[in-house]
Amino acid sequence: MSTTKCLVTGGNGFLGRWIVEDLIKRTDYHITILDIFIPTNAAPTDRITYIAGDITDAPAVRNALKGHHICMHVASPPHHFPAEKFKKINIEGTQNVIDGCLQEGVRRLIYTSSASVLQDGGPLENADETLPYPKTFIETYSETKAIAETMILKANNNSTLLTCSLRPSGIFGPGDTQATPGFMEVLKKGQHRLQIGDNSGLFDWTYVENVAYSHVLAAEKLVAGSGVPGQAFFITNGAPVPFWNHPRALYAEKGVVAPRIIIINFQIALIIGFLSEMFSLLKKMMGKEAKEGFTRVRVRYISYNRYFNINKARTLLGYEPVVVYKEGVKKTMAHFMALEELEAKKKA
Amino acid sequence: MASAILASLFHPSEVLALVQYKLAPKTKYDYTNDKARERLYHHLNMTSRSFAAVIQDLDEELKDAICLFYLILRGLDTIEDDMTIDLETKIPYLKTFHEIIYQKGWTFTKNGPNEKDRQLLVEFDVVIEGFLALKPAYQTIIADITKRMGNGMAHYATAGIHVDTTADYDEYCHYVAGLVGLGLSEMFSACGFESPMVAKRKDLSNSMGLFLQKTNITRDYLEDLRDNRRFWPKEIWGLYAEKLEDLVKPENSDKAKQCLSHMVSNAMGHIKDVLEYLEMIKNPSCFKFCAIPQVMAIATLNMLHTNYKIFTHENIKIRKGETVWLMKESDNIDKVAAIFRLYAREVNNKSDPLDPHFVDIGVACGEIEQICVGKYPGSTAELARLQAGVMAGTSGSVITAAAVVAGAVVLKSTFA
Repeated sequence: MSTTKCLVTGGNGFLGRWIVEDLIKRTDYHITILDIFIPTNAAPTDRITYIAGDITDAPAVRNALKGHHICMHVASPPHHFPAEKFKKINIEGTQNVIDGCLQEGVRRLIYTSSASVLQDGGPLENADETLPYPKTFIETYSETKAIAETMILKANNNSTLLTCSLRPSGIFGPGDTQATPGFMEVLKKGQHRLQIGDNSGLFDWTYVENVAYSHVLAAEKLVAGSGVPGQAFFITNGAPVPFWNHPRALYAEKGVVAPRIIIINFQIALIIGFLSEMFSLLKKMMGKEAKEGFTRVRVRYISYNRYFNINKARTLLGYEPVVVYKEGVKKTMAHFMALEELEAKKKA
Repeated sequence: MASAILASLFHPSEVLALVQYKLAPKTKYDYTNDKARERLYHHLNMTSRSFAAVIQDLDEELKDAICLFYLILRGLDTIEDDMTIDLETKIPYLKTFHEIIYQKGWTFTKNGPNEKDRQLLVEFDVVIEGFLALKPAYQTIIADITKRMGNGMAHYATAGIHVDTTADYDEYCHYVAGLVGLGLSEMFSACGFESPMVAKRKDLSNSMGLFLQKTNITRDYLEDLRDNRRFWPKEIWGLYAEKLEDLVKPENSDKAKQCLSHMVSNAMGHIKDVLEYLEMIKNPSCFKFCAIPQVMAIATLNMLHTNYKIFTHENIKIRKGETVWLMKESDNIDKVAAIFRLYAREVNNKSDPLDPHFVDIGVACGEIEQICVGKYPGSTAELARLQAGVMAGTSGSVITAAAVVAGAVVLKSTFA
């Protein structure tokens, strides 16, 4: 009996590593990790092979895909990358993956999209997969993710390649490089006392292991007639919470709680956001470097409702979060606190 | 009235509701041409503070049936509650009460002189007379629930009330409150006002009772403890104290607060069902009848949350103005959903992040919000309207001043 071979692009990233771990745990697949960065201490096992390669390098991608049955296209640049990089990696990179799959006869392709493909700057309440993409996007990241997702879903073809797309919202967990470290930074600066708006907007956070699990389910359910091919699925923990609850829950794991919360009115925050945008524009015009910090887009993002309906994933993929939100918070902070302790020891 | 307005001074919508309530022409329930009926409603008014008004506002078809349902269960409760009656005498009454209600002329005089509702049983022949005049369908429903509740009471009276696990807690609340929900639902469906589905969804009817009962049990910690009644499940309080009564000790105040959050979190688990149930109710008078106690419960739960007072003071209550305001606002599912969202947000924002149930309560509040936005989109506009009222209060606006003046005018007119 031949074993199924599965290639994971970005398999060395935050989500990629969790997917590989879940594949090892729940399947008997042989896994190939394709990543631009392979750590020097990465040791191949009888089930894991490493290939260092750039997703924007078409021949390299095709070569890597040789002999594989499944491809999970997880690779995506982090949020702080410049716009050109997003276009290059998300759009061209995805085209390379699709082409490579077709040329090498890979039968199943699962794309890691993002819930932000629906982000138009307005609220999203119980949003489901029937909603169209917004006419205008507020950031390049979500726009390029939406374009790539469209390409992936279009490539779905019963006789050649079956595809589907997963749209996780607010991924967090051990190894997280964006959401959780961002909140820890806020805490370090003492800004955890600030709250914008009345904390009525809900936000859907998703523990990383649940996202990984949804990839495994998708790989198994991606067969003709299952209703899965050619479809997109929102993936969340199914437990949206008021936005400011999440950082507070994280800090509370460290035993930290703000003695007094300073609430900045939503409208006033928008004005401050506008001023800060103007300020960084001015700096740019004067030829100085300016980091996009406090913007109106951000104010809306954290104040508006942003939660999704995951019934489609539940019925077609048989998805149900394996780690509940509360448990996810505890596991995440256990990891970050251990890291901090390690760093403190190094210093001492 | 004066003190009620004073208490609601910073809540202009409540002052407004109080004034409207005071000025509204009181619906006169005139039963003078029917002596027996007059007596029944006299007993209803004597035995129930909160239910008398909502029962009398029910549609004629259901009014007497639900009034009698209430009085019969109250009669049963009065026997069960009386510690001056020994068990041997008591148990047979509890177990056969569903048969007693068919015996014309039956009365009961064995209650101790201090038993609050003693007179109801002394004149119980009036209740039985009324019961026998009801449509047979209603009689059957009432007798069935009376039988189940009586047997439940007999069981707890002999074995003692040992609420160990949360399952025990649910079971106890089912006997004393969930069954009432089941009976009411059956009557709603039997009279044709509501779909047969209302009676069929026994799980939801049960939750209606459980949410009310658990809120009361949480609130009445001190009062129950004083009378040596223990309804808080050991599975919960055992995590925070050696003995239930240890929670009142000042040195345990942190643990007591955590335990309270746990109780609140447990009660909130029924809200999803409560909303689903209320959504099914189409008859306006049935809707108000069902909704009012529920919105009072969420308001009470909000008042209890993180409130250490429940361990130091008995009989804490929401403001009279808040009650009147809630009664006024609870006439359709959008408004009720808006009220639940309003209080859920308050509950969440009061939570202490260091509390072990901070995340659970946040998730429960998120779920209420998510369900309401999805199923009752009209609740968003209602919520904005309610919040406008609340906001006006916190900023101590002109409306407050105007309302105070209005209140003063009313006061003058009441005393004149």
